[in-house]
Amino acid sequence: MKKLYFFLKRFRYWHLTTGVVVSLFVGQNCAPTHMSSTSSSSLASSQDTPAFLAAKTVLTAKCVSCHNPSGVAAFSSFDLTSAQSFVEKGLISPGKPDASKLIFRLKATWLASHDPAVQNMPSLGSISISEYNVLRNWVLSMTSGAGPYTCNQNDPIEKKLVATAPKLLSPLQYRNTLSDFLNAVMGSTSASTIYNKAMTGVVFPDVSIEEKYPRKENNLNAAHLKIFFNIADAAAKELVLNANYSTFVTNVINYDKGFCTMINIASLSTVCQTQFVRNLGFRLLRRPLREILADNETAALTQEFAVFALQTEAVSTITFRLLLSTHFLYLFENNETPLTDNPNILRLSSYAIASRLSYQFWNSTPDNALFAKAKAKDLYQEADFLDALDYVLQSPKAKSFIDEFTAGWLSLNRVPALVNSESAMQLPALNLRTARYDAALRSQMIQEIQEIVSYTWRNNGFVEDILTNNISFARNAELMKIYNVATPAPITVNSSNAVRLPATHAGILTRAGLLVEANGMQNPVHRAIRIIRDVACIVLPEAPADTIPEIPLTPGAIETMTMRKQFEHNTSTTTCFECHKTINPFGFALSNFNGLGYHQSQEPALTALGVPTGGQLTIDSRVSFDTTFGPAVRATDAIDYSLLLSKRTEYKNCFITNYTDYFLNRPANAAEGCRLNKAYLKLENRQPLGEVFRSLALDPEFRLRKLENN
Amino acid sequence: MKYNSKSRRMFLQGTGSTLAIPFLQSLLPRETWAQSVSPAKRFVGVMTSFDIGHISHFFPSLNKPTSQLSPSIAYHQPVQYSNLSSYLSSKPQLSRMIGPEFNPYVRSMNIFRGLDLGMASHRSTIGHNMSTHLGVLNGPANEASIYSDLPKILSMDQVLNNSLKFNPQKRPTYFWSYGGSGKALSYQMDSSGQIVPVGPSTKNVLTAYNSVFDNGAYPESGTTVPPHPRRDILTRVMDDYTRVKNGRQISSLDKIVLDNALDKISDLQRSLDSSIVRAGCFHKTFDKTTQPTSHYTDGRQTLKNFADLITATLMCDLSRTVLFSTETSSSSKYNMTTDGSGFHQGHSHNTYNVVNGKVNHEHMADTQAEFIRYFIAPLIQNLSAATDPTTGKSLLETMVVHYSTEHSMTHSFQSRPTMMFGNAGGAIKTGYYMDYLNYAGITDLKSTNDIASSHLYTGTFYNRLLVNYLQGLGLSPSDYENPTYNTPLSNLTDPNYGVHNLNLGTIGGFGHTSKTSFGAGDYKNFAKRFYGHYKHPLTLPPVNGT
Repeated sequence: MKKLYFFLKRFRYWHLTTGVVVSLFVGQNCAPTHMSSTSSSSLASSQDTPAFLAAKTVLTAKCVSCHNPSGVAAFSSFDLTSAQSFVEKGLISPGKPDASKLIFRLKATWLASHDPAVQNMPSLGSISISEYNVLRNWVLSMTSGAGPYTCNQNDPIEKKLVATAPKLLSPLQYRNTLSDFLNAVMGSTSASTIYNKAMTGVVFPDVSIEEKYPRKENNLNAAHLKIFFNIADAAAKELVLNANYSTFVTNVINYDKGFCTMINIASLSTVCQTQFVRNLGFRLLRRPLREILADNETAALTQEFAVFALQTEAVSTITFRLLLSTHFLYLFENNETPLTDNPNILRLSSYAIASRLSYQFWNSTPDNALFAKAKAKDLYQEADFLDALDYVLQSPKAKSFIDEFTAGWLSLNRVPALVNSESAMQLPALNLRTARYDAALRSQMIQEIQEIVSYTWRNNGFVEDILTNNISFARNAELMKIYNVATPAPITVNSSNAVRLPATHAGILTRAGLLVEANGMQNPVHRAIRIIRDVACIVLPEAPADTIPEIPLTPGAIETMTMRKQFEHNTSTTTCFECHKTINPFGFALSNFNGLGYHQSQEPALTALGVPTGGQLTIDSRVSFDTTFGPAVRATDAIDYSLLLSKRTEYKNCFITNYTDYFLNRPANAAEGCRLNKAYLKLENRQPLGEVFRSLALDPEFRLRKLENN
Repeated sequence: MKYNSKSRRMFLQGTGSTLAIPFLQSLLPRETWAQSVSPAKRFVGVMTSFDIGHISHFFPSLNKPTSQLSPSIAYHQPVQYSNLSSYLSSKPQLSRMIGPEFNPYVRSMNIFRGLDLGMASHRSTIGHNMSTHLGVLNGPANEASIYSDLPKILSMDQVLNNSLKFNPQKRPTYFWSYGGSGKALSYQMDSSGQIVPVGPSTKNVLTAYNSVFDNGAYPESGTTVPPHPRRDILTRVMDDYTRVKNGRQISSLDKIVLDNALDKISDLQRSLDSSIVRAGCFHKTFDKTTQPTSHYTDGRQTLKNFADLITATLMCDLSRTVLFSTETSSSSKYNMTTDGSGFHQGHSHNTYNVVNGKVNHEHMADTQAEFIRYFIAPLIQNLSAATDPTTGKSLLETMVVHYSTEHSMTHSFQSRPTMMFGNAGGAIKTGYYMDYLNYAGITDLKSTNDIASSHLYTGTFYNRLLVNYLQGLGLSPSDYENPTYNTPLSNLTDPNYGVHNLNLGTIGGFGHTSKTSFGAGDYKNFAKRFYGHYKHPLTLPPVNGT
């Protein structure tokens, strides 16, 4: 218990400063902005909304003295009876505060981007952060009806396309590709053996904890190449060992026998050698080999049969070369057909589109059926493409992209590897269930959140459901203890067999994986930052690196204060509160959950030394989002809070921003606003989550490639 | 924690046994003959990510060293120094952090006080990242606007790695760590010119070993290694890439990708050449299996294992540059204290709190001392005992081991605790406590403590020490200087920037100095605070200390 005292004493700093790897907040610079400069709008549109009423108060106090028909700014007088008048005068752009002149001109001196030369309104006096946010929120609350992103439908396709470099397979994609290839040519048992031997000792370099989507990494460095070399070397050796060679060669040739009507394994005929190379090349490069005079890939590889006296060595070498080739390691799209009116835009072949689809949604190579579709149809054509897209998305392998996206979106790599076992320090006094935190529990916590998104998708749910779903996916006994459920979730959950959580839990924000803390103590600021960053995509300025001033707190006072009260106390200085009035509500709403995710109706009172006094403290999880979402936006508890967030434009925008980032392997370009609007409007119009996931693939851009000018 | 004394002893005996083996040049591979003309040098960069609590725990003394290099020698700035050995006459060890294990090596090391980091922003400036340690202040791509006035540059290890003078065989640089992903705060330029997070490839010593030594298959001293059977086939792989490059519809982005791949394959092919394993290359026997199981101080054996691994890697000449760090992410178990809080946030930011009866800054110092005792000390002992077969000298004499750590609870950029070992083949003089603090105006030396706000006495620019290293390791200014790096400081005429900085012309130097604008750290304030000779190495005494 002595440790708890130091915890409580120290946490005033620590809780407030553990933002080295996440955003923290500089008091005087705290003005929430949104992730994308054009990334927000709202469901609401009436000019009688609370947002407009609040805005009118600010406009009246700060602007109208000049901006009226007889004022010094009569040339730009404000009509406060109509929000639309601001639109018509070009003062605001609905849903786009950063594109709105009225917002741009504000004297928001605390913004890093503030330019005092032109951002000087009000000319007399200043505007506070809360006033700024009220105006901004008002603009955000208006919608143009066409989505919040800048989009000119009349832009030519060239302008909407972004030239990108070939994409190196991510470690996951590489492993899946190799595994699927081996399964296809060797059968699952032998494939598994060969794969494991090839992968012995292989560890891909760690990916930054700050990189939400590891598959974005696109840098072939020496370490990667050495790994690819070692794997190619080992796999190519294994495949020609006595036990495997015959199966390997036979299966490869049998895929498409061509003119190789009879396979003599001991001595392949020339046509069989050629067919082996063609088929193996097709498998690994995911397209037919080129056989034109100046670029004859088949001939270049087949020559290995002439180089080596032993046929097995030739086969091994050909395999090795292909496993290190450009078109195996990269999604490399050249030798495609240029558009007739624009040679810098390539119309992708069926095979290239099949690879885009499979790597996008499966993180692996096309399978036989998809290859067959690519061979038989023109996947560039809408109907054929939709058939292929549906095939890919309906495959169980599509779980790969859902899980990877969810893990990145919600930063599940940050679920702590270790939780202090004394985290239960709050528990004895409550006589609660205790769970043992270990790797299995961590894994289950992550998997549960992934399953919520996956379930929503597979069952035609909506994006709101992710924040409100009350189905248990807990199968691990320890996680079941945390949720106080007695029945493990079925292997395949559906609406009729689902185990429902107690009414205290609903949606991802109330799941243990997003609540657990490495030190086992609930931390409202950590929780808030996570939600602000990942769920609402509100960007706040960086935190001060320097010391947080201590606010004296007597040991006796601690005994009467819940965690929330203590955080309120320690963020109450003017400097801290400037930001924490925005931050804190996002965490305080979850005050009923302790540091492992248990729901508690009361908190144990503790002395300054961490000894339970035996008393219980009433938890207050009511919050107000005045400074972020506008006046009168409140939540009473975690469930209400989740419901509130689920309907917010910020959440939907954040989801789209994250999904786009993941899908494209980069942040969306300004020229891609139309694509984002299409996806966004599917959320707005309550189309199922699956439609959103399909949206970016359905765009014509998905079947084209723009070449950067040489 | 299990300690495998036998394997460690065998390892050290292995490296030491080379002393008795006659040096036969004919046994060396071709590349090593070339090195005998210009002996190979090596660099090990070590950084810890949490601070020292109080400067008195690191530096041998807070008093001004007794000797002085004149301003004319030291570019206008008087530099104080003392023989390190002089501090051992009155106490058993150099400082609380630098224990008696280092007493035999005081003539092979320097301790530096008064080296100040540049500043750019919270992310890249605070001391717990490897890129700052090596001269780079660039930040993450998603904050590009913050760093827009900082050119994208290579860090010192990248410069060394790319230099054919230093690394003619283009050996890879290895970066390992004790704990954590380590990429959270450290940024460098990648092969496509983008600023990306960088970090250790692994924190697992066995994984690191397997990567360097081909899962243990790499032969030991004296063995002839035939060329890898796939070596020549890589020529055909490169032909395949070239054919793609010469194909249709290859954009400039495609070409960058292909050229980079060709470059890497070529490097890989070179590493697969036939060779004779260097004399003194022993790597099979030391313990690679012990991994840390919980918090930092449980990892003594792992730290020693990494020290052995680094020594073996250098002795086998499989790398010329190795980096090693401790955790930089506060969320990992390896950086946690016994009470579950992150070390940095739990202790560094609460310097004077008491934990388990010990004041936090003492706890921090003792934890750092553990690292120094169980990693730096074995490393120095290994390198000192191992013989470089190309020179007959100890490996330590021919190289540089650079150590620095974060300074204080406020991420102070001032007076970064720094020490180095080795002479870079005689190019760098050692044996000193070097003090570059600007003592003008200091009335109370005790006030130069760990709290930045009261530590007003500045020194000189940290990156100057990196210039010492770069030059000592055989590079010329043209190999690493870029006058645009510090352009804002060129030709200053405003006396507010400090008269010593006026009319400096092209600055040059290595690494970032500062953003043009970042509060107290902007380049104007830097110019004011420092003597502006960023391109010059630190001045050291002309001979080794006694």
